[in-house]
Amino acid sequence: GKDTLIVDLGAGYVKIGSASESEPRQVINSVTKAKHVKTRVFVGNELDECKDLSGLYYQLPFQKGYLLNWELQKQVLDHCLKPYADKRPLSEWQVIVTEPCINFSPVAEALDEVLFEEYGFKAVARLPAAFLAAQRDQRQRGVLPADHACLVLDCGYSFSHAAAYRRGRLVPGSVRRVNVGGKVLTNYLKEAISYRQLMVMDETHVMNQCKEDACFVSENFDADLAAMSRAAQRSPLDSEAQERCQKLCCEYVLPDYAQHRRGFVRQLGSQKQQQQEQTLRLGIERVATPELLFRPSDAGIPEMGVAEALCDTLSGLPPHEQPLYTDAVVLAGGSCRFAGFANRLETELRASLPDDFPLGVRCHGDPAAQAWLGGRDLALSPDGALECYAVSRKDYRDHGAALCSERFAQFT
Amino acid sequence: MVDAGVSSRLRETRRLVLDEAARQRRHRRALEALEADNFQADPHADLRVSKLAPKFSDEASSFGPSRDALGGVAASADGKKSRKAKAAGGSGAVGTLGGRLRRNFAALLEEELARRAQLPGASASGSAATPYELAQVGPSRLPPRHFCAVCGLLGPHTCVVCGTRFCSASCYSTHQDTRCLKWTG
Repeated sequence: GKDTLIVDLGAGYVKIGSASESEPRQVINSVTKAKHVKTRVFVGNELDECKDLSGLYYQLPFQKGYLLNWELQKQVLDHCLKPYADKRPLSEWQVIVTEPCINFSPVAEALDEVLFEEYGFKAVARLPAAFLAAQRDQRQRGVLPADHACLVLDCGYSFSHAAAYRRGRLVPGSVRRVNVGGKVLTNYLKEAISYRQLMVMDETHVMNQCKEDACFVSENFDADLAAMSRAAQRSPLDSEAQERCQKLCCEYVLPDYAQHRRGFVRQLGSQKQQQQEQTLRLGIERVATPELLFRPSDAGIPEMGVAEALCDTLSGLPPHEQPLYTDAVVLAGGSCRFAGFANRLETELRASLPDDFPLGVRCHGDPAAQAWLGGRDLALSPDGALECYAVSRKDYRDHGAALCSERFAQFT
Repeated sequence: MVDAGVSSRLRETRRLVLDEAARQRRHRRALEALEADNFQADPHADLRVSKLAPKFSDEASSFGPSRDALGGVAASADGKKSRKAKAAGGSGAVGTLGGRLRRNFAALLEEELARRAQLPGASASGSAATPYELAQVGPSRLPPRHFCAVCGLLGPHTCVVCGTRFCSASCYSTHQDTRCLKWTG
């Protein structure tokens, strides 16, 4: 019902909102320290109050994708929940909270305990984010639960997961994890720029924004590379290669916190460099960074990319059912937001799948919000579907943590 | 030789060539750097808590990073160090949740492995792999690409000394002059 809060607890951002809202608020999941502000820390989006966003130091409750530090997480959650707790005491709210595809019992139990005992929610449903994205897909496309099958690709901050869902349940053994996410991409970009142009290793916040603003997924990375290499050697370029180079080369104007709080992309030669400006020259980095999602080996990470991982998941499914899954490859997670991502994924999958398999890469809006929207759809679903997933505070008190692991375990 | 024009004194000191083990170590450190949440040290680490600040718990550690003025815990980039800075802060109960919550991902994984080993039938089946390990994808079927460390384009050639890739003679001389064995990421 409407008295449900949906909290998509991610390592990078918390996506939070009530079921009566149409989209979640994104709150950075960090207690951040600023170089020049020694009297306070910035919890979550309090960072907006910080004047100088250079040299920020993040304290993240998550480690390697798992919620381990509750001292930090409680601060961020308190900050996120305040507007809702002010409207109505938390004991009158139900909450849907997310966990990774594959969780550890101490982490899961700690989350249940904090939600029931520290916050005192009326009822809790702890569900994997990928599961909620699958729910979202099923409802958006109007498929009957019994007929639904999909593959979910959830690319987050710490890692990316491919998983298969059938009839609303995770197919056991179908989860594949690629250890590349937003964090690795930002670090890769930081290193590339620091090595080649300007020392930005301390500027995670700024370079993260640069990544979001300037990077995109190439539909043909090798062609981009070849075009840029020929341009670097001053060889003559055909029109296609010229187009590629023009699309890639740009300037990124760094924020100065006097006039601009956020950097921006500027086409080469469109404006003369202002006096106080610091700019970066970007080229192949714009596509090489997100390319890591498809080819982690570009950075020396000995893993297959997300497209291969989806195929790996698929290969474990019954052959006669595989076409059902390929028809719905659902994108979720902030790292799927790159322009050209869906297109590239489709190209890679199409090349690896048999011709007669239908292929449908499904993006039902902002990938970062898909899990949250799935949770909201679940909360508002007229058939009361949330009931079978939620555990009430009374039941938690009477039956303890064991009930939670049993009730929620059907999804992991 | 690309080295022509470099003094013989410099040539002498640069005879060091990294062996495979050293290269692997550098590679591993590079991969760890990719996983870091922060590159720099805690900017508030040098703050001293005033003696007048209220002490919330006896667990306030006398060693390790100091707390900032609001009693926040300085979590460092290295997960191992944060164990020492385990001050309880305001609500001690939430911090450790009865000690059940592992502060460190490595410890979490270890505990899960130990738990699996104790399950009945684990010894019979040999290796009791956790779902977490089973989900880990294997290496790609595609051959890895190598990029020039200096310009980011394709890097077919390798530096003899440190194994870094480069694309052309000009990028190689840039690498030798400024980066070879000097970049520590």
